[in-house]
Amino acid sequence: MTREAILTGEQPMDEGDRDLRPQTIHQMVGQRSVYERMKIAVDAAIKREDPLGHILFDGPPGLGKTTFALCLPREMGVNVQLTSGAALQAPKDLVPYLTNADSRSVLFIDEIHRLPKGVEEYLYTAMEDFRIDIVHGEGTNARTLNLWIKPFTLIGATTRAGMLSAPLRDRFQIRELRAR
Amino acid sequence: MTREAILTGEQPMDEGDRDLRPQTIHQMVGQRSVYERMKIAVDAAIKREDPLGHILFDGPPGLGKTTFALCLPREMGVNVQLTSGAALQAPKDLVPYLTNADSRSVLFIDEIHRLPKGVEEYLYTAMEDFRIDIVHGEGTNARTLNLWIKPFTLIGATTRAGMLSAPLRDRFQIREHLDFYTLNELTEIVRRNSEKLSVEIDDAAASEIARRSRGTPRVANNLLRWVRDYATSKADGVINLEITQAALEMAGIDQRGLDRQDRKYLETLVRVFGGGPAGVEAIAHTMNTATDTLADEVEPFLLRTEMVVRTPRGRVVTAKTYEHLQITPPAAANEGDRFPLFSEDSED
Repeated sequence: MTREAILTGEQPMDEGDRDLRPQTIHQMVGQRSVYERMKIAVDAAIKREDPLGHILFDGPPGLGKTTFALCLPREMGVNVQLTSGAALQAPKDLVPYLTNADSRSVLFIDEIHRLPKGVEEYLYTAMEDFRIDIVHGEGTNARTLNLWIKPFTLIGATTRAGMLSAPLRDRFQIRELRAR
Repeated sequence: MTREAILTGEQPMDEGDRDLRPQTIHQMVGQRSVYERMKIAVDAAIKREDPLGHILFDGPPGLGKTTFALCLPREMGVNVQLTSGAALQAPKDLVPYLTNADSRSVLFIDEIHRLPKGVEEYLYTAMEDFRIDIVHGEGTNARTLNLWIKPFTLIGATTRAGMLSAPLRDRFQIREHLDFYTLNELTEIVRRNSEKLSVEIDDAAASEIARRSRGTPRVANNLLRWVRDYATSKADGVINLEITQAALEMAGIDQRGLDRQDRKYLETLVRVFGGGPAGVEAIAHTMNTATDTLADEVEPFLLRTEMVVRTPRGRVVTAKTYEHLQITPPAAANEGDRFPLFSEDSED
Protein backbone atom coordinates (compact mmCIF):
# COMPACT_ATOMS: atom_id res chain seq x y z
CA MET A 1 0.00 0.00 0.00
CA THR A 2 2.95 2.34 -0.15
CA ARG A 3 2.72 5.26 -2.51
CA GLU A 4 4.81 4.95 -5.61
CA ALA A 5 7.81 7.22 -5.78
CA ILE A 6 7.17 10.17 -8.01
CA LEU A 7 10.74 10.45 -9.20
CA THR A 8 13.36 7.77 -8.98
CA GLY A 9 17.14 8.06 -9.08
CA GLU A 10 17.20 7.08 -12.76
CA GLN A 11 15.69 9.45 -15.25
CA PRO A 12 13.74 8.05 -18.20
CA MET A 13 15.89 9.16 -21.09
CA ASP A 14 13.12 9.79 -23.64
CA GLU A 15 12.41 13.33 -22.59
CA GLY A 16 14.31 14.67 -25.54
CA ASP A 17 14.55 18.39 -25.77
CA ARG A 18 11.24 19.03 -24.08
CA ASP A 19 12.81 20.01 -20.84
CA LEU A 20 15.41 22.71 -20.68
CA ARG A 21 16.00 22.06 -17.00
CA PRO A 22 19.51 20.74 -16.27
CA GLN A 23 19.38 17.13 -15.14
CA THR A 24 22.44 17.08 -12.86
CA ILE A 25 24.08 19.81 -10.87
CA HIS A 26 27.14 19.47 -13.10
CA GLN A 27 25.10 20.74 -16.03
CA MET A 28 24.08 23.85 -14.15
CA VAL A 29 25.61 27.14 -15.21
CA GLY A 30 26.15 29.94 -12.71
CA GLN A 31 25.43 30.03 -8.98
CA ARG A 32 28.95 28.66 -8.58
CA SER A 33 29.24 29.32 -4.88
CA VAL A 34 25.92 27.62 -4.12
CA TYR A 35 26.94 24.77 -6.41
CA GLU A 36 30.26 24.28 -4.60
CA ARG A 37 28.61 24.29 -1.18
CA MET A 38 25.91 21.86 -2.29
CA LYS A 39 28.52 19.53 -3.76
CA ILE A 40 30.36 19.44 -0.45
CA ALA A 41 27.19 18.84 1.54
CA VAL A 42 26.12 16.03 -0.81
CA ASP A 43 29.60 14.49 -0.79
CA ALA A 44 29.74 14.47 2.99
CA ALA A 45 26.23 13.03 3.30
CA ILE A 46 27.09 10.22 0.87
CA LYS A 47 30.35 9.42 2.65
CA ARG A 48 28.70 9.35 6.07
CA GLU A 49 25.58 7.65 4.67
CA ASP A 50 23.50 10.25 6.49
CA PRO A 51 20.51 12.00 5.06
CA LEU A 52 21.36 15.43 3.73
CA GLY A 53 20.58 18.28 6.14
CA HIS A 54 17.33 20.14 5.51
CA ILE A 55 17.85 22.84 2.90
CA LEU A 56 16.00 26.08 2.29
CA PHE A 57 16.44 27.84 -1.05
CA ASP A 58 15.42 31.44 -1.02
CA GLY A 59 15.44 33.88 -3.87
CA PRO A 60 13.50 35.55 -6.66
CA PRO A 61 11.55 33.33 -9.09
CA GLY A 62 13.27 31.64 -11.98
CA LEU A 63 16.82 31.42 -10.70
CA GLY A 64 17.00 27.68 -10.25
CA LYS A 65 15.60 26.83 -6.85
CA THR A 66 13.52 23.96 -8.23
CA THR A 67 16.36 22.77 -10.44
CA PHE A 68 18.67 22.49 -7.45
CA ALA A 69 15.99 20.72 -5.46
CA LEU A 70 15.49 18.14 -8.21
CA CYS A 71 19.17 17.64 -9.01
CA LEU A 72 20.36 17.07 -5.46
CA PRO A 73 18.34 13.87 -4.88
CA ARG A 74 19.56 12.56 -8.22
CA GLU A 75 23.09 13.27 -7.06
CA MET A 76 22.42 11.33 -3.85
CA GLY A 77 20.66 8.53 -5.72
CA VAL A 78 17.51 8.81 -3.62
CA ASN A 79 13.85 9.35 -4.38
CA VAL A 80 12.11 12.68 -4.27
CA GLN A 81 8.52 13.61 -3.61
CA LEU A 82 7.26 16.92 -4.91
CA THR A 83 4.56 19.07 -3.46
CA SER A 84 3.79 22.71 -2.98
CA GLY A 85 2.94 24.77 0.08
CA ALA A 86 -0.38 25.86 -1.37
CA ALA A 87 -1.45 22.21 -1.79
CA LEU A 88 -0.85 21.39 1.87
CA GLN A 89 -3.72 23.20 3.48
CA ALA A 90 -4.21 20.82 6.40
CA PRO A 91 -1.90 18.51 8.33
CA LYS A 92 -3.64 15.52 6.77
CA ASP A 93 -2.35 16.63 3.36
CA LEU A 94 1.21 16.49 4.63
CA VAL A 95 1.11 13.23 6.57
CA PRO A 96 1.13 10.84 3.55
CA TYR A 97 4.27 12.46 2.21
CA LEU A 98 6.03 12.02 5.53
CA THR A 99 4.92 8.46 6.21
CA ASN A 100 5.79 7.37 2.67
CA ALA A 101 9.25 8.91 2.66
CA ASP A 102 12.03 6.35 2.31
CA SER A 103 15.08 6.60 4.49
CA ARG A 104 17.31 9.47 3.24
CA SER A 105 14.79 10.43 0.56
CA VAL A 106 13.92 14.02 -0.24
CA LEU A 107 10.63 15.82 0.23
CA PHE A 108 10.57 19.00 -1.83
CA ILE A 109 8.04 21.65 -0.85
CA ASP A 110 7.85 24.48 -3.34
CA GLU A 111 6.44 27.84 -2.22
CA ILE A 112 6.91 26.71 1.36
CA HIS A 113 5.86 30.11 2.67
CA ARG A 114 2.27 29.25 1.63
CA LEU A 115 2.05 26.55 4.31
CA PRO A 116 -0.57 27.34 6.94
CA LYS A 117 0.85 27.69 10.44
CA GLY A 118 -0.81 24.50 11.62
CA VAL A 119 1.01 22.50 8.96
CA GLU A 120 4.29 24.27 9.69
CA GLU A 121 3.98 23.06 13.25
CA TYR A 122 3.77 19.46 12.06
CA LEU A 123 7.04 19.93 10.29
CA TYR A 124 8.87 21.03 13.46
CA THR A 125 8.89 17.59 15.06
CA ALA A 126 9.16 15.84 11.71
CA MET A 127 12.31 17.76 10.81
CA GLU A 128 13.94 17.67 14.20
CA ASP A 129 13.06 14.30 15.66
CA PHE A 130 11.59 12.51 12.62
CA ARG A 131 8.39 12.09 14.54
CA ILE A 132 4.87 13.21 13.74
CA ASP A 133 2.12 13.72 16.26
CA ILE A 134 -1.24 12.91 14.74
CA VAL A 135 -4.15 14.43 16.61
CA HIS A 136 -7.40 12.44 16.70
CA GLY A 137 -10.65 14.12 17.48
CA GLU A 138 -11.22 17.69 18.43
CA GLY A 139 -11.47 19.90 21.46
CA THR A 140 -11.45 18.17 24.80
CA ASN A 141 -11.59 14.71 23.17
CA ALA A 142 -8.40 15.19 21.20
CA ARG A 143 -5.75 12.50 21.54
CA THR A 144 -2.28 12.44 20.09
CA LEU A 145 -0.67 9.51 18.35
CA ASN A 146 3.11 9.57 17.95
CA LEU A 147 4.43 8.14 14.73
CA TRP A 148 8.11 7.69 13.97
CA ILE A 149 9.13 8.28 10.39
CA LYS A 150 12.31 7.51 8.47
CA PRO A 151 15.05 10.14 8.44
CA PHE A 152 14.43 12.26 5.38
CA THR A 153 15.60 15.53 3.90
CA LEU A 154 13.24 18.43 3.52
CA ILE A 155 14.08 20.85 0.74
CA GLY A 156 12.04 24.02 0.81
CA ALA A 157 11.94 26.69 -1.85
CA THR A 158 10.52 30.12 -1.25
CA THR A 159 10.55 33.51 -2.84
CA ARG A 160 9.81 35.12 0.50
CA ALA A 161 11.79 33.64 3.37
CA GLY A 162 10.51 36.39 5.62
CA MET A 163 7.02 34.89 5.51
CA LEU A 164 8.26 31.67 7.07
CA SER A 165 7.87 31.57 10.83
CA ALA A 166 11.17 31.80 12.67
CA PRO A 167 11.01 28.34 14.31
CA LEU A 168 10.58 26.70 10.90
CA ARG A 169 13.32 28.76 9.28
CA ASP A 170 15.71 27.87 12.10
CA ARG A 171 15.20 24.17 11.56
CA PHE A 172 16.82 24.26 8.13
CA GLN A 173 20.47 23.36 8.53
CA ILE A 174 21.47 24.80 5.17
CA ARG A 175 20.00 28.07 4.02
CA GLU A 176 20.94 29.35 0.60
CA LEU A 177 20.22 32.92 -0.24
CA ARG A 178 20.36 33.35 -3.97
CA ALA A 179 22.06 36.46 -5.21
CA ARG A 180 20.39 38.30 -8.01
CA MET B 1 -9.17 9.23 26.92
CA THR B 2 -6.28 11.45 27.85
CA ARG B 3 -4.02 12.79 25.15
CA GLU B 4 -0.80 10.86 24.96
CA ALA B 5 2.26 12.69 26.09
CA ILE B 6 4.13 14.19 23.20
CA LEU B 7 7.43 13.97 25.00
CA THR B 8 7.99 11.78 27.99
CA GLY B 9 10.51 12.26 30.75
CA GLU B 10 12.85 9.78 29.16
CA GLN B 11 14.29 10.51 25.76
CA PRO B 12 14.97 7.61 23.40
CA MET B 13 18.76 7.42 23.36
CA ASP B 14 19.18 6.25 19.76
CA GLU B 15 19.15 9.73 18.36
CA GLY B 16 22.82 9.60 17.48
CA ASP B 17 24.25 12.79 16.12
CA ARG B 18 20.94 14.16 15.00
CA ASP B 19 20.43 16.37 17.98
CA LEU B 20 23.04 18.66 19.45
CA ARG B 21 20.59 20.03 21.98
CA PRO B 22 21.65 19.42 25.61
CA GLN B 23 19.31 16.94 27.28
CA THR B 24 19.59 18.21 30.87
CA ILE B 25 20.28 21.65 32.23
CA HIS B 26 23.52 20.30 33.73
CA GLN B 27 24.85 19.79 30.22
CA MET B 28 24.19 23.38 29.33
CA VAL B 29 27.17 25.68 28.97
CA GLY B 30 26.90 29.38 29.73
CA GLN B 31 23.89 31.40 30.96
CA ARG B 32 25.14 30.64 34.46
CA SER B 33 22.93 33.11 36.30
CA VAL B 34 19.76 31.91 34.55
CA TYR B 35 20.85 28.33 35.18
CA GLU B 36 21.34 28.94 38.91
CA ARG B 37 17.95 30.61 39.28
CA MET B 38 16.21 27.82 37.32
CA LYS B 39 17.89 25.19 39.46
CA ILE B 40 16.56 26.84 42.62
CA ALA B 41 13.05 27.13 41.19
CA VAL B 42 13.05 23.48 40.05
CA ASP B 43 14.50 22.28 43.37
CA ALA B 44 11.87 24.13 45.35
CA ALA B 45 9.04 22.89 43.11
CA ILE B 46 10.21 19.29 43.47
CA LYS B 47 10.55 19.55 47.25
CA ARG B 48 7.11 21.11 47.63
CA GLU B 49 5.64 18.85 44.92
CA ASP B 50 4.14 21.95 43.36
CA PRO B 51 4.04 22.76 39.69
CA LEU B 52 6.80 25.09 38.62
CA GLY B 53 5.77 28.74 38.30
CA HIS B 54 5.03 29.99 34.81
CA ILE B 55 8.21 31.02 33.05
CA LEU B 56 8.85 33.46 30.21
CA PHE B 57 12.15 33.31 28.33
CA ASP B 58 13.07 36.14 26.05
CA GLY B 59 16.15 36.93 24.04
CA PRO B 60 17.51 36.80 20.50
CA PRO B 61 17.04 33.57 18.48
CA GLY B 62 19.36 30.63 19.04
CA LEU B 63 20.49 31.30 22.59
CA GLY B 64 18.75 28.36 24.25
CA LYS B 65 15.19 29.37 25.05
CA THR B 66 13.77 26.13 23.66
CA THR B 67 16.55 24.10 25.26
CA PHE B 68 15.73 25.49 28.70
CA ALA B 69 12.04 24.91 28.06
CA LEU B 70 12.64 21.26 27.15
CA CYS B 71 15.22 20.55 29.85
CA LEU B 72 13.23 21.88 32.78
CA PRO B 73 10.35 19.37 32.44
CA ARG B 74 12.91 16.60 32.15
CA GLU B 75 14.51 17.87 35.35
CA MET B 76 11.10 17.79 37.04
CA GLY B 77 10.27 14.39 35.53
CA VAL B 78 7.05 15.66 33.96
CA ASN B 79 5.64 15.65 30.45
CA VAL B 80 5.78 18.53 28.04
CA GLN B 81 3.51 19.59 25.21
CA LEU B 82 4.93 21.77 22.46
CA THR B 83 3.16 24.32 20.37
CA SER B 84 3.81 27.69 18.85
CA GLY B 85 2.01 30.98 19.08
CA ALA B 86 1.39 31.20 15.36
CA ALA B 87 -0.52 27.90 15.41
CA LEU B 88 -2.92 29.01 18.13
CA GLN B 89 -5.09 31.36 16.13
CA ALA B 90 -8.34 30.76 18.03
CA PRO B 91 -9.18 29.70 21.58
CA LYS B 92 -10.35 26.31 20.26
CA ASP B 93 -6.76 25.59 19.16
CA LEU B 94 -5.55 26.13 22.70
CA VAL B 95 -8.23 24.19 24.61
CA PRO B 96 -6.99 20.63 23.83
CA TYR B 97 -3.55 21.48 25.15
CA LEU B 98 -4.99 22.78 28.40
CA THR B 99 -7.54 20.03 29.01
CA ASN B 100 -5.01 17.31 28.24
CA ALA B 101 -2.26 18.70 30.46
CA ASP B 102 -1.32 16.36 33.29
CA SER B 103 -0.93 17.73 36.75
CA ARG B 104 2.39 19.64 37.01
CA SER B 105 3.13 19.07 33.32
CA VAL B 106 4.55 21.76 31.09
CA LEU B 107 2.96 23.49 28.12
CA PHE B 108 5.62 25.16 26.02
CA ILE B 109 4.49 27.91 23.65
CA ASP B 110 7.21 29.05 21.28
CA GLU B 111 6.92 32.48 19.68
CA ILE B 112 4.33 33.39 22.28
CA HIS B 113 4.21 36.98 21.04
CA ARG B 114 2.31 35.71 17.97
CA LEU B 115 -0.75 34.76 20.06
CA PRO B 116 -3.86 36.72 19.09
CA LYS B 117 -5.43 38.81 21.81
CA GLY B 118 -8.42 36.50 22.23
CA VAL B 119 -6.21 33.51 22.93
CA GLU B 120 -4.07 35.51 25.32
CA GLU B 121 -7.20 36.27 27.32
CA TYR B 122 -7.97 32.56 27.58
CA LEU B 123 -4.57 32.07 29.09
CA TYR B 124 -5.20 34.62 31.86
CA THR B 125 -7.68 32.46 33.76
CA ALA B 126 -5.89 29.26 32.82
CA MET B 127 -2.61 30.53 34.23
CA GLU B 128 -4.00 32.13 37.36
CA ASP B 129 -6.92 29.98 38.46
CA PHE B 130 -6.37 26.88 36.29
CA ARG B 131 -9.85 27.41 34.91
CA ILE B 132 -11.08 27.90 31.37
CA ASP B 133 -14.40 29.36 30.37
CA ILE B 134 -15.80 27.68 27.28
CA VAL B 135 -18.63 29.55 25.60
CA HIS B 136 -21.32 27.42 23.95
CA GLY B 137 -23.69 28.86 21.40
CA GLU B 138 -24.04 32.41 20.26
CA GLY B 139 -25.91 35.55 21.10
CA THR B 140 -28.69 35.19 23.68
CA ASN B 141 -28.29 31.42 23.78
CA ALA B 142 -24.65 31.58 24.77
CA ARG B 143 -23.82 29.73 27.93
CA THR B 144 -20.50 29.63 29.69
CA LEU B 145 -19.06 26.37 30.87
CA ASN B 146 -16.39 26.58 33.54
CA LEU B 147 -13.84 23.86 33.19
CA TRP B 148 -11.23 23.23 35.83
CA ILE B 149 -7.92 22.04 34.54
CA LYS B 150 -5.00 20.46 36.32
CA PRO B 151 -2.32 22.79 37.67
CA PHE B 152 0.27 23.08 34.94
CA THR B 153 3.28 25.18 34.08
CA LEU B 154 3.28 27.46 31.07
CA ILE B 155 6.67 28.15 29.56
CA GLY B 156 6.68 30.87 26.94
CA ALA B 157 9.54 31.79 24.65
CA THR B 158 9.71 34.97 22.65
CA THR B 159 12.24 36.98 20.75
CA ARG B 160 10.27 40.13 21.49
CA ALA B 161 9.01 40.44 25.05
CA GLY B 162 7.82 43.93 24.16
CA MET B 163 5.10 42.56 21.88
CA LEU B 164 3.43 40.65 24.72
CA SER B 165 0.53 42.42 26.37
CA ALA B 166 1.33 43.60 29.86
CA PRO B 167 -1.34 41.47 31.63
CA LEU B 168 0.05 38.31 30.09
CA ARG B 169 3.64 39.26 30.85
CA ASP B 170 2.74 39.96 34.47
CA ARG B 171 1.23 36.51 34.92
CA PHE B 172 4.59 34.86 34.43
CA GLN B 173 6.14 34.34 37.83
CA ILE B 174 9.64 33.98 36.45
CA ARG B 175 10.94 36.10 33.62
CA GLU B 176 14.39 35.37 32.26
CA HIS B 177 16.35 37.22 29.64
CA LEU B 178 18.99 35.19 27.82
CA ASP B 179 22.11 36.97 26.70
CA PHE B 180 24.87 36.28 24.22
CA TYR B 181 27.57 33.73 25.06
CA THR B 182 31.25 34.50 25.68
CA LEU B 183 34.01 33.19 23.46
CA ASN B 184 35.10 30.61 26.05
CA GLU B 185 31.58 29.28 26.49
CA LEU B 186 31.13 28.96 22.74
CA THR B 187 34.47 27.18 22.35
CA GLU B 188 33.35 24.71 25.00
CA ILE B 189 30.05 24.20 23.15
CA VAL B 190 31.86 23.58 19.86
CA ARG B 191 34.21 21.12 21.56
CA ARG B 192 31.36 19.18 23.19
CA ASN B 193 29.23 19.11 20.06
CA SER B 194 32.07 17.91 17.86
CA GLU B 195 32.26 14.98 20.28
CA LYS B 196 28.54 14.38 19.78
CA LEU B 197 29.05 14.52 16.01
CA SER B 198 32.06 12.19 16.48
CA VAL B 199 34.47 14.40 14.61
CA GLU B 200 37.98 15.36 15.68
CA ILE B 201 38.65 19.04 16.11
CA ASP B 202 41.72 20.85 17.43
CA ASP B 203 41.58 23.75 19.89
CA ALA B 204 42.54 26.42 17.38
CA ALA B 205 39.77 25.36 15.02
CA ALA B 206 37.22 25.23 17.85
CA SER B 207 37.99 28.75 18.96
CA GLU B 208 38.00 29.95 15.34
CA ILE B 209 34.47 28.63 14.88
CA ALA B 210 33.46 30.15 18.22
CA ARG B 211 34.92 33.54 17.26
CA ARG B 212 32.85 33.65 14.09
CA SER B 213 29.60 32.51 15.72
CA ARG B 214 28.50 35.96 16.88
CA GLY B 215 27.83 34.82 20.42
CA THR B 216 25.08 32.41 19.38
CA PRO B 217 25.27 28.64 19.97
CA ARG B 218 22.89 27.88 17.12
CA VAL B 219 25.21 29.66 14.70
CA ALA B 220 28.18 27.79 16.18
CA ASN B 221 26.40 24.46 15.64
CA ASN B 222 25.50 25.29 12.06
CA LEU B 223 29.06 26.37 11.32
CA LEU B 224 30.39 23.22 12.97
CA ARG B 225 28.11 21.03 10.83
CA TRP B 226 29.22 22.86 7.73
CA VAL B 227 32.94 22.59 8.58
CA ARG B 228 32.41 18.90 9.28
CA ASP B 229 30.82 18.44 5.85
CA TYR B 230 33.72 20.30 4.28
CA ALA B 231 36.28 18.21 6.15
CA THR B 232 34.53 14.95 5.19
CA SER B 233 34.32 15.95 1.55
CA LYS B 234 37.67 17.66 0.99
CA ALA B 235 39.95 16.16 3.65
CA ASP B 236 40.14 13.10 5.89
CA GLY B 237 37.40 14.29 8.22
CA VAL B 238 39.63 15.83 10.88
CA ILE B 239 38.99 19.52 11.48
CA ASN B 240 42.01 21.77 11.83
CA LEU B 241 42.45 25.51 11.62
CA GLU B 242 43.29 25.54 7.93
CA ILE B 243 40.20 23.55 6.94
CA THR B 244 38.02 25.67 9.21
CA GLN B 245 39.18 28.90 7.60
CA ALA B 246 38.75 27.56 4.08
CA ALA B 247 35.29 26.17 4.87
CA LEU B 248 34.06 29.35 6.52
CA GLU B 249 35.41 31.49 3.72
CA MET B 250 33.46 29.37 1.27
CA ALA B 251 30.30 29.72 3.35
CA GLY B 252 30.77 33.48 3.24
CA ILE B 253 31.33 33.90 6.98
CA ASP B 254 33.92 36.59 7.55
CA GLN B 255 36.31 37.31 10.44
CA ARG B 256 33.70 39.12 12.48
CA GLY B 257 31.11 36.40 11.91
CA LEU B 258 29.03 38.41 9.45
CA ASP B 259 27.30 36.20 6.90
CA ARG B 260 26.21 37.05 3.38
CA GLN B 261 22.90 38.47 4.54
CA ASP B 262 24.57 40.80 7.04
CA ARG B 263 27.03 42.05 4.48
CA LYS B 264 24.24 42.53 1.97
CA TYR B 265 22.41 44.64 4.55
CA LEU B 266 25.46 46.82 5.15
CA GLU B 267 26.23 47.10 1.46
CA THR B 268 22.65 48.06 0.69
CA LEU B 269 22.71 50.69 3.40
CA VAL B 270 26.01 52.11 2.15
CA ARG B 271 25.48 51.81 -1.60
CA VAL B 272 21.79 52.58 -2.00
CA PHE B 273 21.12 54.83 0.96
CA GLY B 274 24.52 56.52 1.11
CA GLY B 275 25.18 55.21 4.60
CA GLY B 276 21.79 56.18 5.96
CA PRO B 277 19.74 57.31 7.70
CA ALA B 278 17.29 54.84 6.20
CA GLY B 279 14.20 53.16 7.60
CA VAL B 280 14.35 49.42 8.15
CA GLU B 281 11.33 48.91 5.90
CA ALA B 282 12.97 50.70 3.00
CA ILE B 283 16.07 48.55 3.45
CA ALA B 284 13.96 45.38 3.64
CA HIS B 285 12.14 46.21 0.41
CA THR B 286 15.36 46.98 -1.40
CA MET B 287 16.86 43.70 -0.21
CA ASN B 288 13.64 41.83 -1.05
CA THR B 289 13.44 40.36 2.46
CA ALA B 290 11.00 40.76 5.32
CA THR B 291 11.29 43.52 7.86
CA ASP B 292 10.99 40.96 10.66
CA THR B 293 13.97 39.02 9.36
CA LEU B 294 16.13 42.13 9.47
CA ALA B 295 14.85 43.27 12.84
CA ASP B 296 15.11 39.83 14.48
CA GLU B 297 18.14 38.24 12.88
CA VAL B 298 20.37 40.77 11.21
CA GLU B 299 20.21 43.96 13.19
CA PRO B 300 20.73 42.77 16.79
CA PHE B 301 24.25 41.63 16.02
CA LEU B 302 25.15 44.69 13.93
CA LEU B 303 23.83 46.98 16.64
CA ARG B 304 25.69 45.09 19.31
CA THR B 305 28.99 45.30 17.43
CA GLU B 306 28.35 49.00 16.78
CA MET B 307 28.44 48.69 13.00
CA VAL B 308 25.01 50.27 12.68
CA VAL B 309 23.24 52.71 14.97
CA ARG B 310 19.51 53.33 15.27
CA THR B 311 18.56 56.97 15.22
CA PRO B 312 15.12 58.59 15.19
CA ARG B 313 15.60 59.16 11.46
CA GLY B 314 16.56 55.57 10.69
CA ARG B 315 19.57 53.28 10.55
CA VAL B 316 23.00 54.82 10.03
CA VAL B 317 26.25 52.97 9.44
CA THR B 318 29.28 53.80 11.56
CA ALA B 319 32.95 54.14 10.72
CA LYS B 320 33.41 50.48 11.67
CA THR B 321 31.25 49.41 8.73
CA TYR B 322 33.33 51.36 6.22
CA GLU B 323 36.47 49.92 7.77
CA HIS B 324 35.06 46.39 7.62
CA LEU B 325 33.75 46.61 4.07
CA GLN B 326 36.95 48.43 3.07
CA ILE B 327 35.04 51.27 1.49
CA THR B 328 36.16 54.86 1.96
CA PRO B 329 33.37 56.80 3.61
CA PRO B 330 31.87 59.56 1.46
CA ALA B 331 33.42 62.91 2.37
CA ALA B 332 30.07 64.47 3.18
CA ALA B 333 29.38 61.89 5.83
CA ASN B 334 32.16 63.33 7.94
CA GLU B 335 30.61 66.77 8.04
CA GLY B 336 27.63 65.41 9.91
CA ASP B 337 24.93 67.13 7.87
CA ARG B 338 24.50 65.51 4.50
CA PHE B 339 21.09 66.95 3.81
CA PRO B 340 21.33 70.69 4.38
CA LEU B 341 17.94 72.27 4.96
CA PHE B 342 18.69 75.21 2.71
CA SER B 343 20.23 73.96 -0.48
CA GLU B 344 20.78 77.51 -1.77
CA ASP B 345 23.56 77.71 0.81
CA SER B 346 25.60 75.35 -1.37
CA GLU B 347 27.86 76.47 -4.23
CA ASP B 348 25.17 76.99 -6.90
